[in-house]
Amino acid sequence: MALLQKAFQQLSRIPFRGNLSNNRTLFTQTSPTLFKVTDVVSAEPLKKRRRTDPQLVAARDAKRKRRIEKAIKKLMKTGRKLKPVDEIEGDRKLQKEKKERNRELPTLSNEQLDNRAILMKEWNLYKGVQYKKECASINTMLECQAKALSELKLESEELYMAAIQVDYQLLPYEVNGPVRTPPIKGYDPPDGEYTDTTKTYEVEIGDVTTVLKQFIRK
Amino acid sequence: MSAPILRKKFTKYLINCQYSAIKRESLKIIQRPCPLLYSTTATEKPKWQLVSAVCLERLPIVSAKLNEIEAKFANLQETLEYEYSSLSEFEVRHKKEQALAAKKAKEQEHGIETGETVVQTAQDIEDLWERELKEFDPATREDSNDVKSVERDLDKKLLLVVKQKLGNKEHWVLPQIPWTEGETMRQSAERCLGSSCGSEINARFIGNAPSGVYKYNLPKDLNQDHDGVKVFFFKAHHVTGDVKPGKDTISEHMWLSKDELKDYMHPDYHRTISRFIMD
Repeated sequence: MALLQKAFQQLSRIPFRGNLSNNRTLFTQTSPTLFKVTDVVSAEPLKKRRRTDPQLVAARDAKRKRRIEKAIKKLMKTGRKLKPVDEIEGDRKLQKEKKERNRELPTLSNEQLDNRAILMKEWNLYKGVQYKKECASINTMLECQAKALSELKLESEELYMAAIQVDYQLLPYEVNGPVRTPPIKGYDPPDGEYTDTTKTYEVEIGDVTTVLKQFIRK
Repeated sequence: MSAPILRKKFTKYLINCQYSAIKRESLKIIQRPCPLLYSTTATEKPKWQLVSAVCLERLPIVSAKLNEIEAKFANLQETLEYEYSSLSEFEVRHKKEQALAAKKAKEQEHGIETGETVVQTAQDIEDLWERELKEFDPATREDSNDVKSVERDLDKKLLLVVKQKLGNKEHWVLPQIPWTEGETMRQSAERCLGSSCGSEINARFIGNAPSGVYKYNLPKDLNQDHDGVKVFFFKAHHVTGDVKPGKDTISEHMWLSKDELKDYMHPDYHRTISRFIMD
Protein backbone atom coordinates (compact mmCIF):
# COMPACT_ATOMS: atom_id res chain seq x y z
CA MET A 1 0.00 0.00 0.00
CA ALA A 2 2.79 2.32 0.91
CA LEU A 3 4.54 1.53 -2.38
CA LEU A 4 1.43 2.38 -4.37
CA GLN A 5 1.08 5.67 -2.57
CA LYS A 6 4.65 6.60 -3.33
CA ALA A 7 4.15 5.75 -6.97
CA PHE A 8 1.12 7.97 -7.19
CA GLN A 9 2.88 10.88 -5.59
CA GLN A 10 5.83 10.56 -7.96
CA LEU A 11 3.53 10.32 -10.91
CA SER A 12 1.77 13.49 -9.89
CA ARG A 13 5.06 15.43 -10.00
CA ILE A 14 5.67 14.76 -13.69
CA PRO A 15 4.08 17.45 -15.94
CA PHE A 16 1.85 15.85 -18.44
CA ARG A 17 2.61 16.93 -22.01
CA GLY A 18 0.08 15.04 -24.02
CA ASN A 19 0.43 13.97 -27.65
CA LEU A 20 2.79 16.35 -29.46
CA SER A 21 1.91 15.36 -32.99
CA ASN A 22 -1.74 16.34 -32.51
CA ASN A 23 -0.71 19.62 -31.02
CA ARG A 24 -3.46 19.38 -28.55
CA THR A 25 -2.95 19.40 -24.83
CA LEU A 26 -5.28 18.12 -22.26
CA PHE A 27 -3.82 20.15 -19.46
CA THR A 28 -2.61 23.64 -19.74
CA GLN A 29 -1.02 23.71 -16.35
CA THR A 30 2.75 23.41 -16.28
CA SER A 31 3.05 22.80 -12.57
CA PRO A 32 2.50 19.26 -11.28
CA THR A 33 -1.00 18.31 -10.19
CA LEU A 34 0.25 16.96 -6.83
CA PHE A 35 -2.78 14.92 -5.96
CA LYS A 36 -2.49 13.33 -2.60
CA VAL A 37 -3.49 10.12 -0.94
CA THR A 38 -4.22 9.94 2.77
CA ASP A 39 -1.95 7.86 5.01
CA VAL A 40 -2.87 4.28 5.49
CA VAL A 41 -3.83 3.50 9.08
CA SER A 42 -3.09 -0.11 9.84
CA ALA A 43 -5.67 -0.60 12.50
CA GLU A 44 -9.37 -0.79 12.76
CA PRO A 45 -11.40 1.57 14.87
CA LEU A 46 -11.70 0.59 18.53
CA LYS A 47 -14.66 -1.42 19.55
CA LYS A 48 -17.13 0.10 21.84
CA ARG A 49 -16.81 -1.27 25.37
CA ARG A 50 -19.82 -3.17 26.40
CA ARG A 51 -21.09 -2.29 29.75
CA THR A 52 -21.58 -5.34 31.99
CA ASP A 53 -23.84 -5.54 34.92
CA PRO A 54 -21.68 -6.03 38.08
CA GLN A 55 -24.44 -8.08 39.63
CA LEU A 56 -24.42 -10.42 36.67
CA VAL A 57 -20.64 -10.82 36.90
CA ALA A 58 -20.85 -11.61 40.57
CA ALA A 59 -23.53 -14.20 39.89
CA ARG A 60 -21.38 -15.80 37.20
CA ASP A 61 -18.37 -15.97 39.50
CA ALA A 62 -20.43 -17.47 42.27
CA LYS A 63 -21.72 -20.10 39.88
CA ARG A 64 -18.23 -21.03 38.76
CA LYS A 65 -17.05 -21.19 42.35
CA ARG A 66 -19.94 -23.42 43.29
CA ARG A 67 -19.17 -25.76 40.42
CA ILE A 68 -15.51 -26.12 41.48
CA GLU A 69 -16.49 -26.65 45.08
CA LYS A 70 -18.88 -29.37 44.03
CA ALA A 71 -16.18 -31.08 42.01
CA ILE A 72 -13.79 -30.93 44.98
CA LYS A 73 -16.42 -32.37 47.27
CA LYS A 74 -17.06 -35.19 44.85
CA LEU A 75 -13.35 -35.93 44.59
CA MET A 76 -13.01 -35.93 48.37
CA LYS A 77 -15.85 -38.39 48.66
CA THR A 78 -14.94 -40.90 45.97
CA GLY A 79 -11.28 -40.22 45.41
CA ARG A 80 -9.68 -40.04 42.04
CA LYS A 81 -11.50 -42.07 39.48
CA LEU A 82 -9.03 -44.49 37.96
CA LYS A 83 -9.05 -45.68 34.41
CA PRO A 84 -10.47 -49.20 34.08
CA VAL A 85 -7.83 -51.83 33.41
CA ASP A 86 -9.59 -52.98 30.24
CA GLU A 87 -9.14 -49.58 28.70
CA ILE A 88 -5.42 -49.38 29.36
CA GLU A 89 -3.67 -49.84 26.07
CA GLY A 90 -0.10 -50.19 27.16
CA ASP A 91 2.95 -48.69 25.60
CA ARG A 92 2.37 -48.08 21.88
CA LYS A 93 6.08 -48.10 21.19
CA LEU A 94 6.54 -51.52 22.77
CA GLN A 95 3.56 -52.91 20.89
CA LYS A 96 5.14 -51.83 17.64
CA GLU A 97 8.50 -53.35 18.57
CA LYS A 98 7.03 -56.59 19.82
CA LYS A 99 8.34 -58.66 16.95
CA GLU A 100 11.78 -57.11 17.10
CA ARG A 101 12.05 -57.96 20.74
CA ASN A 102 11.46 -61.67 20.35
CA ARG A 103 14.35 -63.89 21.35
CA GLU A 104 15.86 -66.32 18.92
CA LEU A 105 15.71 -69.57 20.81
CA PRO A 106 16.67 -73.05 19.75
CA THR A 107 13.70 -75.42 19.49
CA LEU A 108 13.50 -77.89 22.34
CA SER A 109 13.70 -81.58 21.70
CA ASN A 110 10.98 -83.92 22.90
CA GLU A 111 13.34 -85.32 25.49
CA GLN A 112 13.96 -81.90 26.97
CA LEU A 113 10.25 -81.17 27.13
CA ASP A 114 9.63 -84.50 28.83
CA ASN A 115 12.35 -83.82 31.36
CA ARG A 116 10.79 -80.50 32.17
CA ALA A 117 7.36 -82.02 32.64
CA ILE A 118 8.80 -84.71 34.90
CA LEU A 119 10.65 -82.14 36.97
CA MET A 120 7.45 -80.12 37.36
CA LYS A 121 5.64 -83.17 38.68
CA GLU A 122 8.47 -84.03 41.02
CA TRP A 123 8.40 -80.51 42.30
CA ASN A 124 4.66 -80.65 42.91
CA LEU A 125 5.08 -83.82 44.89
CA TYR A 126 7.97 -82.38 46.86
CA LYS A 127 6.08 -79.22 47.74
CA GLY A 128 2.95 -81.18 48.59
CA VAL A 129 4.81 -83.37 51.05
CA GLN A 130 6.54 -80.34 52.51
CA TYR A 131 3.23 -78.57 52.95
CA LYS A 132 1.67 -81.56 54.68
CA LYS A 133 4.61 -81.82 57.05
CA GLU A 134 4.35 -78.15 57.82
CA CYS A 135 0.62 -78.41 58.54
CA ALA A 136 1.24 -81.40 60.80
CA SER A 137 3.94 -79.58 62.76
CA ILE A 138 1.73 -76.52 63.13
CA ASN A 139 -1.04 -78.74 64.43
CA THR A 140 1.26 -80.35 67.00
CA MET A 141 2.42 -76.90 68.06
CA LEU A 142 -1.17 -75.83 68.60
CA GLU A 143 -1.85 -79.01 70.53
CA CYS A 144 1.18 -78.36 72.72
CA GLN A 145 0.02 -74.84 73.44
CA ALA A 146 -3.52 -75.98 74.26
CA LYS A 147 -2.13 -78.61 76.58
CA ALA A 148 0.15 -76.10 78.26
CA LEU A 149 -2.74 -73.73 78.78
CA SER A 150 -4.97 -76.41 80.25
CA GLU A 151 -2.18 -77.52 82.58
CA LEU A 152 -1.74 -73.94 83.67
CA LYS A 153 -5.46 -73.59 84.24
CA LEU A 154 -5.37 -76.57 86.58
CA GLU A 155 -2.77 -74.81 88.69
CA SER A 156 -4.04 -71.29 88.78
CA GLU A 157 -6.96 -69.54 87.15
CA GLU A 158 -5.21 -66.21 87.55
CA LEU A 159 -2.10 -67.24 85.69
CA TYR A 160 -4.23 -68.79 83.01
CA MET A 161 -6.14 -65.56 82.51
CA ALA A 162 -2.86 -63.67 82.25
CA ALA A 163 -1.62 -66.13 79.67
CA ILE A 164 -4.59 -65.86 77.35
CA GLN A 165 -4.47 -62.07 77.15
CA VAL A 166 -3.68 -60.55 73.77
CA ASP A 167 -0.15 -59.19 73.57
CA TYR A 168 -0.64 -55.77 72.03
CA GLN A 169 3.08 -55.05 72.17
CA LEU A 170 3.83 -57.82 69.73
CA LEU A 171 2.30 -56.38 66.58
CA PRO A 172 3.47 -55.04 64.24
CA TYR A 173 6.30 -57.52 64.22
CA GLU A 174 9.09 -57.18 61.70
CA VAL A 175 11.84 -59.65 60.93
CA ASN A 176 14.39 -59.23 58.18
CA GLY A 177 15.97 -61.98 56.16
CA PRO A 178 17.13 -64.54 55.46
CA VAL A 179 19.47 -63.04 52.91
CA ARG A 180 22.10 -64.36 50.52
CA THR A 181 25.15 -63.16 52.44
CA PRO A 182 25.26 -62.05 56.06
CA PRO A 183 25.51 -58.34 56.83
CA ILE A 184 29.01 -56.88 57.12
CA LYS A 185 29.63 -55.50 60.59
CA GLY A 186 30.21 -51.78 60.69
CA TYR A 187 29.68 -51.38 56.97
CA ASP A 188 29.40 -47.81 55.83
CA PRO A 189 27.30 -47.80 52.66
CA PRO A 190 28.51 -45.32 50.05
CA ASP A 191 26.16 -42.52 49.09
CA GLY A 192 24.29 -43.05 45.89
CA GLU A 193 23.73 -40.41 43.26
CA TYR A 194 21.10 -37.92 44.17
CA THR A 195 19.82 -34.56 43.08
CA ASP A 196 19.17 -31.93 45.67
CA THR A 197 15.68 -30.56 45.14
CA THR A 198 15.63 -28.33 48.18
CA LYS A 199 14.63 -24.80 47.22
CA THR A 200 16.96 -22.04 48.27
CA TYR A 201 15.84 -18.48 48.75
CA GLU A 202 18.39 -15.71 48.66
CA VAL A 203 17.26 -12.67 50.55
CA GLU A 204 19.66 -10.12 51.91
CA ILE A 205 19.06 -9.29 55.53
CA GLY A 206 18.94 -5.54 54.92
CA ASP A 207 16.14 -5.99 52.46
CA VAL A 208 13.80 -7.87 54.78
CA THR A 209 11.44 -4.96 55.37
CA THR A 210 11.07 -4.16 51.69
CA VAL A 211 10.56 -7.82 50.86
CA LEU A 212 7.90 -8.07 53.52
CA LYS A 213 6.22 -4.96 52.18
CA GLN A 214 6.19 -6.42 48.72
CA PHE A 215 4.82 -9.62 50.08
CA ILE A 216 2.03 -7.82 51.88
CA ARG A 217 1.16 -5.85 48.76
CA LYS A 218 0.69 -9.08 46.89
CA MET B 1 -10.04 -112.52 70.95
CA SER B 2 -12.10 -112.06 74.06
CA ALA B 3 -9.18 -111.77 76.44
CA PRO B 4 -7.83 -108.36 75.28
CA ILE B 5 -11.32 -106.88 75.20
CA LEU B 6 -11.93 -107.98 78.74
CA ARG B 7 -8.62 -106.53 79.84
CA LYS B 8 -9.45 -103.32 78.14
CA LYS B 9 -12.77 -103.12 79.87
CA PHE B 10 -11.14 -103.91 83.13
CA THR B 11 -8.60 -101.12 82.83
CA LYS B 12 -11.38 -98.77 81.85
CA TYR B 13 -13.19 -99.84 84.93
CA LEU B 14 -10.17 -99.25 87.08
CA ILE B 15 -9.82 -95.75 85.75
CA ASN B 16 -13.46 -95.06 86.29
CA CYS B 17 -13.56 -96.20 89.85
CA GLN B 18 -10.69 -93.93 90.56
CA TYR B 19 -12.50 -90.82 89.47
CA SER B 20 -16.21 -91.36 89.32
CA ALA B 21 -18.54 -93.17 91.60
CA ILE B 22 -21.52 -92.87 89.28
CA LYS B 23 -19.71 -94.47 86.41
CA ARG B 24 -18.55 -97.24 88.68
CA GLU B 25 -22.12 -98.24 89.32
CA SER B 26 -23.06 -98.15 85.70
CA LEU B 27 -20.37 -100.64 84.81
CA LYS B 28 -21.64 -103.96 85.88
CA ILE B 29 -18.95 -106.39 84.86
CA ILE B 30 -17.42 -106.57 88.28
CA GLN B 31 -19.67 -105.55 91.08
CA ARG B 32 -17.03 -105.18 93.69
CA PRO B 33 -14.83 -102.06 93.72
CA CYS B 34 -11.14 -102.70 93.66
CA PRO B 35 -9.67 -102.15 97.12
CA LEU B 36 -6.19 -101.55 95.74
CA LEU B 37 -7.19 -98.49 93.83
CA TYR B 38 -9.32 -97.15 96.58
CA SER B 39 -6.30 -96.67 98.70
CA THR B 40 -4.70 -94.35 96.10
CA THR B 41 -7.73 -92.08 95.97
CA ALA B 42 -7.04 -91.24 99.55
CA THR B 43 -3.77 -89.45 98.64
CA GLU B 44 -3.88 -85.74 98.07
CA LYS B 45 -3.82 -84.00 94.77
CA PRO B 46 -0.15 -83.79 93.68
CA LYS B 47 1.54 -80.47 94.31
CA TRP B 48 3.28 -79.00 91.31
CA GLN B 49 6.04 -76.49 91.32
CA LEU B 50 5.59 -73.95 88.53
CA VAL B 51 8.63 -73.14 86.44
CA SER B 52 8.99 -70.81 83.47
CA ALA B 53 11.48 -71.54 80.71
CA VAL B 54 12.60 -69.49 77.73
CA CYS B 55 12.79 -71.06 74.34
CA LEU B 56 15.10 -68.48 72.80
CA GLU B 57 15.34 -68.85 69.05
CA ARG B 58 17.79 -67.23 66.73
CA LEU B 59 16.15 -67.06 63.32
CA PRO B 60 18.21 -67.93 60.24
CA ILE B 61 20.24 -65.01 58.93
CA VAL B 62 21.33 -66.50 55.65
CA SER B 63 19.13 -68.32 53.16
CA ALA B 64 19.41 -72.08 53.31
CA LYS B 65 21.36 -73.97 50.71
CA LEU B 66 19.13 -75.45 48.03
CA ASN B 67 18.86 -79.19 47.97
CA GLU B 68 19.05 -81.18 44.75
CA ILE B 69 15.47 -80.84 43.59
CA GLU B 70 15.25 -77.22 44.65
CA ALA B 71 18.38 -76.34 42.71
CA LYS B 72 17.06 -78.17 39.65
CA PHE B 73 13.74 -76.42 39.84
CA ALA B 74 15.34 -73.02 40.36
CA ASN B 75 17.41 -73.62 37.27
CA LEU B 76 14.33 -74.56 35.27
CA GLN B 77 12.46 -71.48 36.46
CA GLU B 78 15.32 -69.30 35.38
CA THR B 79 15.45 -70.75 31.88
CA LEU B 80 11.67 -70.54 31.53
CA GLU B 81 11.73 -66.94 32.57
CA TYR B 82 14.43 -66.23 30.03
CA GLU B 83 12.54 -68.03 27.27
CA TYR B 84 9.25 -66.26 27.92
CA SER B 85 10.77 -62.82 28.23
CA SER B 86 11.23 -60.25 25.48
CA LEU B 87 14.40 -58.32 24.86
CA SER B 88 14.88 -55.49 27.28
CA GLU B 89 15.81 -51.96 26.34
CA PHE B 90 19.41 -52.65 27.23
CA GLU B 91 19.53 -55.82 25.14
CA VAL B 92 17.99 -54.05 22.15
CA ARG B 93 20.64 -51.39 22.43
CA HIS B 94 23.37 -54.00 22.66
CA LYS B 95 22.04 -55.77 19.59
CA LYS B 96 21.90 -52.55 17.58
CA GLU B 97 25.42 -51.62 18.55
CA GLN B 98 26.71 -55.03 17.58
CA ALA B 99 25.08 -54.72 14.18
CA LEU B 100 26.59 -51.26 13.76
CA ALA B 101 30.05 -52.49 14.71
CA ALA B 102 29.82 -55.34 12.20
CA LYS B 103 28.76 -52.92 9.48
CA LYS B 104 31.61 -50.60 10.28
CA ALA B 105 34.16 -53.39 10.20
CA LYS B 106 32.91 -54.34 6.74
CA GLU B 107 33.15 -50.78 5.53
CA GLN B 108 36.67 -50.40 6.80
CA GLU B 109 37.67 -53.49 4.87
CA HIS B 110 36.62 -51.67 1.73
CA GLY B 111 38.43 -48.56 2.84
CA ILE B 112 35.47 -46.32 3.60
CA GLU B 113 35.70 -44.09 6.64
CA THR B 114 32.56 -43.51 8.64
CA GLY B 115 32.28 -40.75 11.15
CA GLU B 116 29.75 -42.33 13.47
CA THR B 117 31.20 -43.85 16.64
CA VAL B 118 29.51 -44.81 19.88
CA VAL B 119 31.30 -43.41 22.88
CA GLN B 120 30.13 -45.89 25.49
CA THR B 121 28.63 -49.12 24.28
CA ALA B 122 26.33 -51.38 26.22
CA GLN B 123 29.17 -53.86 26.49
CA ASP B 124 31.33 -51.21 28.15
CA ILE B 125 28.62 -50.49 30.68
CA GLU B 126 28.21 -54.16 31.42
CA ASP B 127 31.95 -54.54 31.96
CA LEU B 128 31.88 -51.56 34.28
CA TRP B 129 29.15 -53.13 36.36
CA GLU B 130 31.03 -56.38 36.50
CA ARG B 131 34.13 -54.61 37.75
CA GLU B 132 32.13 -52.78 40.39
CA LEU B 133 30.65 -56.06 41.59
CA LYS B 134 34.08 -57.64 41.79
CA GLU B 135 35.34 -54.78 43.89
CA PHE B 136 32.62 -55.36 46.47
CA ASP B 137 33.55 -58.02 48.97
CA PRO B 138 30.50 -59.57 50.66
CA ALA B 139 30.73 -61.22 54.05
CA THR B 140 31.33 -64.92 53.92
CA ARG B 141 28.48 -67.38 54.32
CA GLU B 142 30.80 -69.75 56.11
CA ASP B 143 31.05 -69.31 59.83
CA SER B 144 33.12 -70.53 62.71
CA ASN B 145 31.60 -73.61 64.22
CA ASP B 146 31.73 -72.22 67.72
CA VAL B 147 28.70 -73.53 69.59
CA LYS B 148 28.85 -70.62 72.02
CA SER B 149 28.53 -67.99 69.32
CA VAL B 150 25.19 -66.68 68.13
CA GLU B 151 26.72 -66.36 64.70
CA ARG B 152 27.11 -70.02 63.95
CA ASP B 153 25.11 -72.01 61.42
CA LEU B 154 23.72 -68.88 59.85
CA ASP B 155 21.29 -70.76 57.63
CA LYS B 156 19.55 -72.61 60.47
CA LYS B 157 17.30 -71.75 63.33
CA LEU B 158 19.24 -72.00 66.59
CA LEU B 159 18.08 -72.50 70.16
CA LEU B 160 19.74 -71.38 73.33
CA VAL B 161 20.50 -74.37 75.54
CA VAL B 162 22.16 -74.07 78.95
CA LYS B 163 23.69 -76.42 81.42
CA GLN B 164 21.63 -75.80 84.50
CA LYS B 165 21.71 -77.32 87.94
CA LEU B 166 18.38 -79.01 88.67
CA GLY B 167 18.26 -80.84 91.96
CA ASN B 168 21.70 -82.30 92.44
CA LYS B 169 22.60 -82.81 88.84
CA GLU B 170 23.38 -80.55 85.92
CA HIS B 171 21.30 -80.95 82.78
CA TRP B 172 21.26 -79.45 79.34
CA VAL B 173 17.92 -77.66 79.25
CA LEU B 174 16.30 -74.49 78.01
CA PRO B 175 17.01 -71.83 80.64
CA GLN B 176 14.37 -72.00 83.35
CA ILE B 177 13.47 -70.35 86.62
CA PRO B 178 10.86 -71.09 89.32
CA TRP B 179 7.81 -68.90 89.30
CA THR B 180 7.42 -66.60 92.26
CA GLU B 181 4.24 -65.21 93.75
CA GLY B 182 2.93 -62.04 92.19
CA GLU B 183 4.15 -62.34 88.65
CA THR B 184 2.74 -63.95 85.55
CA MET B 185 4.44 -66.90 83.93
CA ARG B 186 5.66 -64.72 81.10
CA GLN B 187 7.18 -62.22 83.50
CA SER B 188 9.13 -64.96 85.19
CA ALA B 189 10.32 -66.15 81.80
CA GLU B 190 11.55 -62.65 81.05
CA ARG B 191 13.25 -62.54 84.42
CA CYS B 192 14.83 -65.88 83.65
CA LEU B 193 16.39 -64.52 80.47
CA GLY B 194 17.78 -61.53 82.31
CA SER B 195 19.22 -63.50 85.19
CA SER B 196 20.64 -66.43 83.29
CA CYS B 197 21.92 -64.84 80.10
CA GLY B 198 23.03 -61.45 81.28
CA SER B 199 21.69 -58.03 80.50
CA GLU B 200 23.32 -57.77 77.09
CA ILE B 201 20.91 -60.07 75.40
CA ASN B 202 17.92 -58.52 73.73
CA ALA B 203 14.98 -60.73 72.87
CA ARG B 204 11.39 -60.40 71.81
CA PHE B 205 8.81 -62.61 73.46
CA ILE B 206 6.13 -64.07 71.24
CA GLY B 207 2.78 -63.77 72.97
CA ASN B 208 1.63 -64.24 76.52
CA ALA B 209 0.72 -67.89 76.26
CA PRO B 210 3.18 -70.72 76.87
CA SER B 211 3.90 -72.82 73.81
CA GLY B 212 4.45 -76.05 75.67
CA VAL B 213 4.63 -77.78 79.00
CA TYR B 214 6.90 -80.45 80.43
CA LYS B 215 6.04 -82.31 83.59
CA TYR B 216 8.36 -84.40 85.68
CA ASN B 217 8.20 -85.96 89.11
CA LEU B 218 10.66 -85.18 91.84
CA PRO B 219 12.26 -88.09 93.68
CA LYS B 220 10.36 -88.92 96.86
CA ASP B 221 13.39 -89.13 99.10
CA LEU B 222 14.20 -85.46 98.77
CA ASN B 223 11.34 -84.55 101.08
CA GLN B 224 10.31 -81.43 99.25
CA ASP B 225 7.11 -79.40 99.34
CA HIS B 226 6.34 -80.39 95.75
CA ASP B 227 5.76 -83.73 94.16
CA GLY B 228 6.64 -82.65 90.67
CA VAL B 229 7.53 -79.77 88.41
CA LYS B 230 5.61 -78.23 85.53
CA VAL B 231 7.84 -76.33 83.15
CA PHE B 232 6.09 -73.86 80.87
CA PHE B 233 7.99 -72.80 77.78
CA PHE B 234 7.77 -69.30 76.39
CA LYS B 235 9.07 -68.56 72.94
CA ALA B 236 11.26 -65.58 72.24
CA HIS B 237 13.21 -64.38 69.24
CA HIS B 238 16.78 -63.27 69.67
CA VAL B 239 17.32 -59.69 68.52
CA THR B 240 20.82 -58.62 69.53
CA GLY B 241 23.50 -59.37 72.07
CA ASP B 242 25.50 -62.30 73.29
CA VAL B 243 24.93 -64.63 76.19
CA LYS B 244 26.91 -63.93 79.36
CA PRO B 245 26.11 -66.67 81.82
CA GLY B 246 26.80 -65.12 85.18
CA LYS B 247 24.77 -67.05 87.72
CA ASP B 248 26.14 -70.11 89.39
CA THR B 249 23.08 -72.14 88.41
CA ILE B 250 24.20 -72.00 84.80
CA SER B 251 27.69 -73.14 83.96
CA GLU B 252 27.64 -73.32 80.18
CA HIS B 253 25.57 -72.36 77.21
CA MET B 254 25.26 -73.44 73.59
CA TRP B 255 23.43 -72.41 70.48
CA LEU B 256 22.12 -75.57 68.88
CA SER B 257 20.00 -76.38 65.89
CA LYS B 258 16.97 -78.60 66.35
CA ASP B 259 18.76 -81.69 65.08
CA GLU B 260 21.61 -81.30 67.53
CA LEU B 261 19.41 -81.10 70.61
CA LYS B 262 18.98 -84.83 71.11
CA ASP B 263 22.71 -85.40 71.66
CA TYR B 264 22.63 -83.37 74.84
CA MET B 265 19.17 -83.56 76.30
CA HIS B 266 17.27 -86.13 78.27
CA PRO B 267 15.25 -88.14 75.72
CA ASP B 268 11.92 -87.45 77.39
CA TYR B 269 12.62 -83.74 77.65
CA HIS B 270 13.80 -83.64 74.06
CA ARG B 271 10.64 -85.36 72.83
CA THR B 272 8.43 -82.81 74.51
CA ILE B 273 10.45 -79.87 73.31
CA SER B 274 10.79 -80.91 69.69
CA ARG B 275 7.02 -81.03 69.35
CA PHE B 276 6.63 -77.27 69.55
CA ILE B 277 9.80 -76.19 67.83
CA MET B 278 9.64 -75.79 64.10
CA ASP B 279 12.60 -76.18 61.83
